[in-house]
Amino acid sequence: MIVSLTHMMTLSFVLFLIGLAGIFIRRDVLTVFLCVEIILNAANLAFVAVANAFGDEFGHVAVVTIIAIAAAEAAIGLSMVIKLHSDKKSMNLSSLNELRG
Amino acid sequence: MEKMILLAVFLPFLSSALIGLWQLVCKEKAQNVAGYIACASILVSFVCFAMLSNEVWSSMSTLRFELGSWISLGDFSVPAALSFDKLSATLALVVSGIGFLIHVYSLGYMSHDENRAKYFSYLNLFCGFMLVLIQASSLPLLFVGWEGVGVCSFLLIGFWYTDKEKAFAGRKAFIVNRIGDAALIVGMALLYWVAKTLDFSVLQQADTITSLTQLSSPLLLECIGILIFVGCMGKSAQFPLYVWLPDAMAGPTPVSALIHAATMVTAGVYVLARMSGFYVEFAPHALSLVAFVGATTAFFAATIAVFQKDIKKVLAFSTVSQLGYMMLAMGVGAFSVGVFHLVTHAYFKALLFLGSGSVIHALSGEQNIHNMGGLKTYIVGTTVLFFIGFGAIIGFPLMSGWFSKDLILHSLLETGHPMYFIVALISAFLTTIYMTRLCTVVFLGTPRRSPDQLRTIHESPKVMLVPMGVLALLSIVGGMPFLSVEHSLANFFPTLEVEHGIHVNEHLLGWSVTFVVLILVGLSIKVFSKKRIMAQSGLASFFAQEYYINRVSVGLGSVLMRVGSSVSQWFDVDIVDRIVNFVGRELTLLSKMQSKNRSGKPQTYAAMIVFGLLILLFCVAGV
Repeated sequence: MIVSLTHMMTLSFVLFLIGLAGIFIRRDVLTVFLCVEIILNAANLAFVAVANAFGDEFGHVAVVTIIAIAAAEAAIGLSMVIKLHSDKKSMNLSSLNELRG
Repeated sequence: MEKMILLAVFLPFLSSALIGLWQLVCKEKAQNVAGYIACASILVSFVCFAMLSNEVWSSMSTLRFELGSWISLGDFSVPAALSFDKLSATLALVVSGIGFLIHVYSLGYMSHDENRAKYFSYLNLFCGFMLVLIQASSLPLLFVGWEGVGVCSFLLIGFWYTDKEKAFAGRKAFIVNRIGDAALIVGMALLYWVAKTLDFSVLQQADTITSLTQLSSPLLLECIGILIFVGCMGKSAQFPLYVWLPDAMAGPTPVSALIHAATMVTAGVYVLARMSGFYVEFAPHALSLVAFVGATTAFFAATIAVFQKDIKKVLAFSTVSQLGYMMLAMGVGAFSVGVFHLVTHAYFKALLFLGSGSVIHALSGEQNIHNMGGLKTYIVGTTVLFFIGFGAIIGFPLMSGWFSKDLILHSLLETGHPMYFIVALISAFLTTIYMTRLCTVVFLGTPRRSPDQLRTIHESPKVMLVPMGVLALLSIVGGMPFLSVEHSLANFFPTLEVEHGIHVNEHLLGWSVTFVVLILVGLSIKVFSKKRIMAQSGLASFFAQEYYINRVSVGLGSVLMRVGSSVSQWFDVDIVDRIVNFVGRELTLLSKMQSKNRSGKPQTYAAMIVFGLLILLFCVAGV
């Protein structure tokens, strides 16, 4: 079975929806952070798929760049999670409501 | 040549800046040397102008020096250019020549002042700006010089600013001149609007003139002429904007001689001469307004001068009156005659002011003429020189004032203005009366000072008497045909159409006027040496109070200012503030209402972002 562009884009879209749903549903900061990563990779997948289908190397280059930057982003994100845990003694997202009007 | 005119115009600026900075750095050392630097710079400037004048004098040519572009905004461009022709040459020689003499005089007059370096810095700056005004090739550049001399006038009137009244006089001069300057700016803007140029030489060109006549309404052009003249009224102290000039006498006397008699106050006359082509071609009615204002000023200022008791105030009103004379000559189209009187007046009025300065110096600051008297035996040199100035201003035969005043009277008849002729004639007689009164009360008769005070009277030093001597020489010979600028300037100016000229024999007129003047001198000496006319009785105090014009206009000014300020305060507090406060308050309320809806939960914000993205997506897809 040949994996077509449609399959790949569908997979990418499904991954995106999973990530989005995770962000909305879960209360745990770490899981939400994981879901953000899933969305990021859904986008990466779409890039690769389109680049492959149209024979354009730029998509690959973009993906490699995104992965490299995502590594840095993950480091910052995780350190924020740790800081949050030490300040609030909780990993629950609903405890972060200081901007409430 | 180009370098020379640059040197001549900018050397005074340079030395002014040098002295100014130097006296800031080391105050004591600068005081003694500053005067010599200032004198030297003006002397070099004068020599340069003398050489340049040689160039333009014999021909009608104009030397033009482009210094580059000054303002360039779309279509509007003003080049920084200096032009030098016969008219500018005449004025430049007067300004730098008399300027030099008065600088030298100041060396003596200001020798006891501890801020004399600052004084010389200002005086140099004034000469620089005056030269820019005269050499400017376009109205905006002229305006730079115009405002510059205004600033210097303000600085020098209020030079002894610790005296509140003197500081106030400086402010008054500045504020009254604002009225004229505002009119000048509006006139300038309108002129640019219709003519698309402000360059004097372009304005005179034939195709500009034809396009102006085709495009613009005559009324608008007349308005421009009147607005520019209102500017001249402020600077040249014409009724009713003269009120600042008598107060300007608060400054040091050499300043009164240079700025408020010989040069700056004649700037208005110069502008009219410079714009004579425009006035003759497009604004003949504005020109008749000039004549009317000039005649009014000449007459009324002369009547006021008769009743003043401050030696400098008499001369100040005399200056106002003589400026009216010049304006009158300009107004009837006798431009070269007006400029000629400007030059001779600069000689003798500078001399008279320097003479009065010498008297004040001799009496250690006394200015009331009723406290003087019989000074001729104490200060012989000053007396002789002052009487030479006196002879020139009343028109003693063959002295400079005799030539120029007779030419004005003659041209008034030639151009068909018998009414103005009579007014000018009466003004000339009044001039004789007040000048004779001044000389009689100050120099003749018996001394009215106590013996103790008389012992302290001292003649001024040579450094003051020599410049006065040179000016006296110029006052004597300045009008002689071989020195007369009138003749060589005659074909420089356009001529106004004359409708009903009255032709009289020039010599007959001149000598008969002189005859009456000399009789008046004799009569006045008799009258004034016997009794002192004090400004007490009704009519006399009416004259002495300047017909209450000064009081009324100052009162009107302050009333207007109070009304204006309370109106703008009301507008600010009750309208602007209310609007601003209303907007601020309502916005705060709105945002408080909005903030209730904010949960502060990250997931709500994420949902909002996604929702917004979806809307965007639909919009893009829909299009």
